[in-house]
Amino acid sequence: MQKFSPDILEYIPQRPPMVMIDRIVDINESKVECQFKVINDNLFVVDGKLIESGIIENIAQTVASVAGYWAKEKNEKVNLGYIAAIKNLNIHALPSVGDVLCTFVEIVNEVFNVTIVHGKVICGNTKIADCEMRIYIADNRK
Amino acid sequence: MTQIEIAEKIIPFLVEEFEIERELINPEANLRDTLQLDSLDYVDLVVVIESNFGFKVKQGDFQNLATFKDFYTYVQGKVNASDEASNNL
Repeated sequence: MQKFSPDILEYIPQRPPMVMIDRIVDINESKVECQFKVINDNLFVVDGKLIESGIIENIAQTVASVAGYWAKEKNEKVNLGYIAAIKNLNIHALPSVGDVLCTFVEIVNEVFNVTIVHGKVICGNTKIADCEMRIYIADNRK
Repeated sequence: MTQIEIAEKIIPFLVEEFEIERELINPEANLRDTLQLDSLDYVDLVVVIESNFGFKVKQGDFQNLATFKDFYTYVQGKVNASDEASNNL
């Protein structure tokens, strides 16, 4: 079983087995670092490796944690975000079962209802992936 | 800033970002059709404008822009208004 922090479910809309971050390590208004341990029964593990779509989902959920964290801090309802586009995606390596990923996301711009972020995944000293992601924010507070 | 200066500054970014031939961009060409803009491409266009000209684009600003000339006129108006505001401080 994945050992994610119980708190993490308060910050993101995904539920097991789709939870792809374990805990928030560091956060401010525009940056977040999350940790995630790759386990064998993860949906995105194939032949002992976390596949590309799992890495992308990990980055996307890290983005979601920023909005979820601050909405909770402010006692507001969080808007749902959807991946609208991924640009300049580089997958440098596929992490193995047992690896702990550190995922860094920085919000670089907000245009209308699209948030543009830069995401980077590191495992130890190895860069796993990086990309620019556009997240469409649906205003569901009404 | 003149429209020629604006065009010279922005066109290389449009060519790179939207992967089109430089020759297709002329003042009377249709902006949306030439750049083949979908809704997310507008986001890219806004990023290019904001990072190059330093003003914030508002939602709806593009509604009345048909041609590149309209686009340059819009950017020119915003840049010059911003310059005037700075000079009045």
